[in-house]
Amino acid sequence: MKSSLRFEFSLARRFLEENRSQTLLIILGIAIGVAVMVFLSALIDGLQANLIDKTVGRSPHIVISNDENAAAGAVKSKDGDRVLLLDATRKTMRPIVEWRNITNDLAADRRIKTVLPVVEGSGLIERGQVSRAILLKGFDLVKADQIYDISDSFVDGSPNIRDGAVLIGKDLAADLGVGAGEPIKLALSGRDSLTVVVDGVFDLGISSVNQRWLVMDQRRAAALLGLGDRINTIEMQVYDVLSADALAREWALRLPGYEVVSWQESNASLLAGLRSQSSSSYTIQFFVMMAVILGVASVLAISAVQKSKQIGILKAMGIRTASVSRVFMIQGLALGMGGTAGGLGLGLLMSKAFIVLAQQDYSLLLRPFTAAVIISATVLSATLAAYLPARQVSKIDPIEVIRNN
Amino acid sequence: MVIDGTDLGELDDDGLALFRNQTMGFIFQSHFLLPQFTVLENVMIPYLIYAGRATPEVKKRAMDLLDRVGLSHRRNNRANAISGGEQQRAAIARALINQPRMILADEPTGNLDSSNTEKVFTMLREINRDYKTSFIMVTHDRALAERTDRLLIMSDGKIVEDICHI
Repeated sequence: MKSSLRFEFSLARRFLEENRSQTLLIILGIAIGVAVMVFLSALIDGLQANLIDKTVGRSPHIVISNDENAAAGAVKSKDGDRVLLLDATRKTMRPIVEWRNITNDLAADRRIKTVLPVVEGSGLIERGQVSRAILLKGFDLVKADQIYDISDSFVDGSPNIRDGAVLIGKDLAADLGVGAGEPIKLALSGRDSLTVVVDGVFDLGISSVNQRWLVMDQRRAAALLGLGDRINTIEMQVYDVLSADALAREWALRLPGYEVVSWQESNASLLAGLRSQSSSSYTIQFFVMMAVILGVASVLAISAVQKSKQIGILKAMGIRTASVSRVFMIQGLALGMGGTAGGLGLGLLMSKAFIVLAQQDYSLLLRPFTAAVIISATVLSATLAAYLPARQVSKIDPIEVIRNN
Repeated sequence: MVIDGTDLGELDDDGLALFRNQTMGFIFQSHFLLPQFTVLENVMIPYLIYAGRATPEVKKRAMDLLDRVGLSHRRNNRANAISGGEQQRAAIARALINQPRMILADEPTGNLDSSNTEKVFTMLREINRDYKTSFIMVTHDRALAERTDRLLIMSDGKIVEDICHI
């Protein structure tokens, strides 16, 4: 350490120790500010992580389908090897012909967690006088579990798709009054209706799925929809949920002619809600930080006035102007560090208390990055807040102090 | 103004600060000790400002100076826990720690009673004799002024008389 800096640190420490109650009060003030920031960040981040998880935890993050706006008939993509065909049944999405190559390419992307080839189509099911519109989903159940976790969501029957058997959602089963092992009539466009047996009833916790989904094996669904061995949708989950949007745009460029949609696109209003929630949290934190800065600045400004005689005498004894400024900056730094340390503890305590008292079903989430930002911003702000008092004392003229005694 | 070969007009703020620290000592009417430090620490402050840490040699010098001003027994007291006369004597020890060539004393006995005034003045005289430190003292005490080597009488900011006592 530079030798004069050692004296500056010791002087700053003595100044802070001298007005112990003043020092403790401002540290408490900073600590409360930091605690509010920590708690608010943890609350908002926890809430948002929970909302996002509820929204996309058990659904695909990115869906690839054949672009409905693509030109009808055979269209050659830019590398010439992918041929897109117009689908025979107009209500069914057009098939993805080269789906095996595309799913292999997608699976090779390390950012993508799960790639699920899906056959999707719409139809009707009937039982007695009741008929309901359904969404036919054909996929490999084991693979689909990685996204939907259907096997663990059965309320009736078993998670196996036997030949001729199908799985339906809980609400749909209730509407039709069917249970496992009972037959229903399935009508798909362009085909005669056929009878299938309900093998199991699932509850995925999403009402649109529970009301409309009818799940069967991929090959059988493809055959029923006239797709041959092809599929018409690829569903994916990615590791970083929030980057799905960017990843979708990237793959859209690599797969011209296909529509690549991220969960963010289909949940724009949720995201807008989350964004405004975040910005209101940032606004509150900004004003809390302003209060912290003003608190530190005012306490040190008062201290500067109280100490002006002593500063004058130190100057007469030869202390440099920059040294005097640093003594006050060091005090700001020390107050900032003390307040931040206390505030982190207090904030975590508040978060724990909130979980216990409010009994919410989500946990608070303090990201290390957020904590680092709060810590560094507070310590830096407290140090900068000392700048004005530091300038004020550095201007003290030793002659003035001596003359006025 | 040239002091001890240094032209003060050529020094910047930091240069002047260093000059004050190394070449000059100050004794004020009011002692101006720092109440946050002990008597011994106060004596060493002019040294600590630049060196940061007291060497055993400086500590010994500070102890000797405290001994000289009769305050060895008070060295670990807080500066604001000793009497006015003691504080002024501690301030004298402080002015001497960097072994300055010259000490400016502004009414050094102005706040003291006659017995303490006598003690302090005698002390300044001894230091002047032993350390060859020059004193420039401002005082309203005519009797004290008569005991200096050279007396300059000022009126309305002008020197009106210059009396040599040696």
